[in-house]
Amino acid sequence: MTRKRTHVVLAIALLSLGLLLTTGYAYAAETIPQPVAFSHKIHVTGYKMSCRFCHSSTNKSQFANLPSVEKCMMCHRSIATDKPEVKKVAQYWNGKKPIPWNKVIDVPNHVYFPHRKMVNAGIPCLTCHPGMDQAGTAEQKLEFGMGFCMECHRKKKVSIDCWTCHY
Amino acid sequence: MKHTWAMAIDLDRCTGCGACVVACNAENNIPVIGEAEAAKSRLMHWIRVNRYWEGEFPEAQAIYLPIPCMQCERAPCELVCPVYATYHNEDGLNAMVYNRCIGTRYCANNCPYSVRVFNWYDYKWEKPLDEQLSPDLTVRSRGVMEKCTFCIQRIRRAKEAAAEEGRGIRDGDVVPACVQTCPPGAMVFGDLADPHSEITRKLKDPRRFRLMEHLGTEPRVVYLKRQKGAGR
Amino acid sequence: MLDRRQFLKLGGATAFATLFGGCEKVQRKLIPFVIPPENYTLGEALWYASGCRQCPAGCGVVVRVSEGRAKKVEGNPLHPVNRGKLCARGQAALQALYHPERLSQPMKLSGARGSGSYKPVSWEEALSLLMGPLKTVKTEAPASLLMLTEPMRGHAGLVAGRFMKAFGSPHRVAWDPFGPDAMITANAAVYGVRDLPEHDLANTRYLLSFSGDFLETGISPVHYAREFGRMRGDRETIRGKFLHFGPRLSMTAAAADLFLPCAPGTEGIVALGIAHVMVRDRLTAAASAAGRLSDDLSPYSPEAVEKKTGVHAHDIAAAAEEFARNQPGLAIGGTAASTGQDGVFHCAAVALLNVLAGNVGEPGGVSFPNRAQAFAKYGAETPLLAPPPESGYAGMRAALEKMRSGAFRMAILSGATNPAFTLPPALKFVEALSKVPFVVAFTSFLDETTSLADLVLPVPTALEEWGDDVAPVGHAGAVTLCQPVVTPFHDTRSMPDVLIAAAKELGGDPAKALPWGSFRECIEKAYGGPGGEMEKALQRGGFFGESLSPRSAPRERKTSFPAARERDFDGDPKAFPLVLHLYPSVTLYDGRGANLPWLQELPDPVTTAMWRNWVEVNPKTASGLDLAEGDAVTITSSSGKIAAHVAFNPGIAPDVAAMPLGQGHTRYGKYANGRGENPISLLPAGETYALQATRVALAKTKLSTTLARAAHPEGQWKVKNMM
Repeated sequence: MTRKRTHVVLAIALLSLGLLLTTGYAYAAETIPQPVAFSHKIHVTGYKMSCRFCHSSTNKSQFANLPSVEKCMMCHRSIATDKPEVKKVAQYWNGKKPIPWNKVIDVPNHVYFPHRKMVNAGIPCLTCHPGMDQAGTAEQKLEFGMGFCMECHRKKKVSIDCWTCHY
Repeated sequence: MKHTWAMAIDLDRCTGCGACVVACNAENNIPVIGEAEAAKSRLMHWIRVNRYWEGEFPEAQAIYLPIPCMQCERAPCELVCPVYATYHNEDGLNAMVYNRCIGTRYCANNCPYSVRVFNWYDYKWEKPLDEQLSPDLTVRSRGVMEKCTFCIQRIRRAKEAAAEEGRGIRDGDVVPACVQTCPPGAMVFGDLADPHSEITRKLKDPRRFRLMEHLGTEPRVVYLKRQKGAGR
Repeated sequence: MLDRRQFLKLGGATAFATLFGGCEKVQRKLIPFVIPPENYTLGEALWYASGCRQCPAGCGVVVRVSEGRAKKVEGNPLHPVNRGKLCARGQAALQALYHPERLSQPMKLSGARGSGSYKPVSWEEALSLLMGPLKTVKTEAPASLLMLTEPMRGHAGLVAGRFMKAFGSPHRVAWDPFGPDAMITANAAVYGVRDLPEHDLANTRYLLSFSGDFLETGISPVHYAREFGRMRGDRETIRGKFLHFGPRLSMTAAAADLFLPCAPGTEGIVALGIAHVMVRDRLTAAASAAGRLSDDLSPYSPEAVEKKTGVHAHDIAAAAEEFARNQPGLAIGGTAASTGQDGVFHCAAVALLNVLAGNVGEPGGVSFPNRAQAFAKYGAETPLLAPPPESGYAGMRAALEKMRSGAFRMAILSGATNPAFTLPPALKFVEALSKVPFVVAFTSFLDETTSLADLVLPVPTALEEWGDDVAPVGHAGAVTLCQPVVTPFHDTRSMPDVLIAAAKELGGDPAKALPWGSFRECIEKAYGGPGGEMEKALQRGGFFGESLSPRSAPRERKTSFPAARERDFDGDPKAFPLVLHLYPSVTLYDGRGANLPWLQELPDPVTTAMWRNWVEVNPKTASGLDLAEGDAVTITSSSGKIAAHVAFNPGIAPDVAAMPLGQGHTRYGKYANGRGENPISLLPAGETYALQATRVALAKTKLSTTLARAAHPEGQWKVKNMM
């Protein structure tokens, strides 16, 4: 290769690296650490708990809530109390402090996304949160771009009016 | 289910008090711009109350005209947006999509009723006044047009509630903030597609007129003329 | 391999790429509950009922609370006073709750009195600072304690009243600049009932208003506006005719079918002119029966009234005839007349018209429901709860005299009525208060009055505290229950709570008189709570509609009304050619709303001005003084001088200049301060709190400010086909 071409290739490589390091794409591949290593796999696949047992407001409001510490302690008052992660939960409970989870799943700005509409329409949770039942630490495998939403909306023939979600 | 939202404002009942303006501010996360900007006519109010004088002392009269967005069926603003950020939605509302808007302000220029307002700055809510902001609605940033939406967030909520109960929207389910608070009850809102709604009845009133009808914008806000005398 | 130039090129490219790469995602936290509240769904708002209390009207509200934050205030649809409607001031209550300048902890003066420099202290220290002087005064001279508040209603009034009584001090002063005491006194003379009546606007056919401001600020504006809407639109073929007499085309006057200007302070004389014609011509049955009044009314012939008031004699006669012919008719007064020099006379004259119309106790007229019956169980203490014990202006002046003479060793201040701002400086309130050695203020904000205190105790705003309220009009015995809609946002304690704690520490009679653990307990005991009936009532917003029998109609008695007292306006007419007409602001009321940005930015209905006050003049008067819209003028009276911008009001009499009250703050925070000058400073230290009895002169001047207007001055004349 000529010197010039080497430089061009190097430039492109650095450009790509720069883009890679600084966009969400690289970021999304990493698992976001959490204060307690809660495993969805154990609870959902192992113990066959329904999503809505913990995320109880999904069919009642626009938000899918995180369970309160009290909810965790409902079982973990007596179950698996020797495990170090469960001990961490007990610590938060005894200190009357909430567990400061890190947000994993996010919808872009300026979008009104009501969970209850999806859930009450019978859309399974795993449609938008694939692999959550098999995940250790929670991961969002799907990128929520507008295309993803529109595809399903078109298929199911529900409203694609901008003002359904963007106001 | 398609709806045809419309509003009627009875000028015989309106006293010009401005409760609708503050109710709209509170409901829709509208910023306060301060004295300097207000002097430059950059008020961000989505509804305003115009006051007109007629005659001179001792026969002077004042008449009040509350003006929200007319939600014109043939809206001049919709034609000129280069990025299709404003369009007519299925319920007959003039929709404004903030994330598409690039701030050309051509739509505001075209609006004959001057109901569109522009975010000239990133207006800040001094803490803790921001605790009052409604989570149901976007807080707009700089460079974006905004205007009255007939309280789309309330329309959405009513539709959701109705869908969950497996019924259609009843008359009175949707009440925009201005209509709800108006003390003399001058404002009526509802679905013209519903033949039994109060708005359908109100719009049969011979006093009805629309602002600048000759322009052909087909507004969805109808006014009822103020009357004189003791009888009707 | 790489030379410097190439390295820089590549480095630049990478840096450029980073820019294009976009921002790194900011990690956000999700904080769940430790123990969630009962019946709580995340994201779904809850509505709590309470009382508005942004003005004395006493409307009920429901507040939308989302995740522990109050988001929106709406009228309570079940409340009899406002039935789901709410005015601009009520809507702005949220800005008071979340105001950046709210006091978040007790403060002790750390400089000279009036310097405004305070040091935050803990509640422990604050209470010990309070109890020390309180105990000393109780032991040595209990009657030297002054309590100066706005009129307190409900059990807050009971707690304060009992505290003072048990303490041993009779000096409880309630100051309300727009207090209806003149109206109440007039009603006692004319109707035989010492109370405010219900005005049944919804069913009336003819409405006579005498400087009435009932649609904007008078007594219960939301209630009256709702009734007015019903009068205009709820009956198939009747709309009602509305005549307004007054010196100025106000917002209320704009709703009238006919505005008949009369000279300021002559509203009662116009009313008596109409009464004269009614009695002379025996226009109604009641007027015929009142023949004994013809002697009293003989000086008020239409011709004589025209000379005094400027209203044409034929208009007076025509009004009388129409009023009598279109029964039921209703006459209603307003703040300008009732706070006038001869407020009782003016209010009595207006009341007389209702008697002559024969509408007392009839639909479409006035009636006197027994509103205080809910508190009948309190017997002699009922007046502590409702209606409020008004000291009125005379009581305020007497208190100032006593302050000056050194009669008070300690003063407790509270309430939004801000005497240092709403009283004329000529009365020297600040100086008088300086003679009181120890002043404690209960307040949410520092203002002109509370910043004179030695100890400032922060109280919750109305939406954050327990209580009850009885509205002055609009119901027949309803009690509003107030509750905190959110956890108090700052470390505040309500005034009744502090008084109860103080009483406990004082022991003896005070402790016996206030036996509860807290004010909440007091309310619960009073209403059979917690739980049970009170629980249901809290969800509704109060005890409504369960009215007992109305007060029996006043017996036939000789209706007396006080004679007019001729009083001159302050100021020589030659030096001061215009009469000043001050009126409560529909946005700021008496000035308490001036620190709320939504209200400052709300354009005034008459002038569309914002953020600053103005002086309204007739366009002809203005051109005579070579003034254009927005020009600056000095306004001079014999007591003071201020400057303001001119706004034209084509509906104001040429010899009247009007200014709204509420601006001119100097110590009420950055949203309120410096927005013009306080027109109260133009008033003399008169015998009455007369808002339209001072003469002024205008002179052109220059101001560096401009008056922000929402309307373009030219565009506001272009109207066709709206009537």
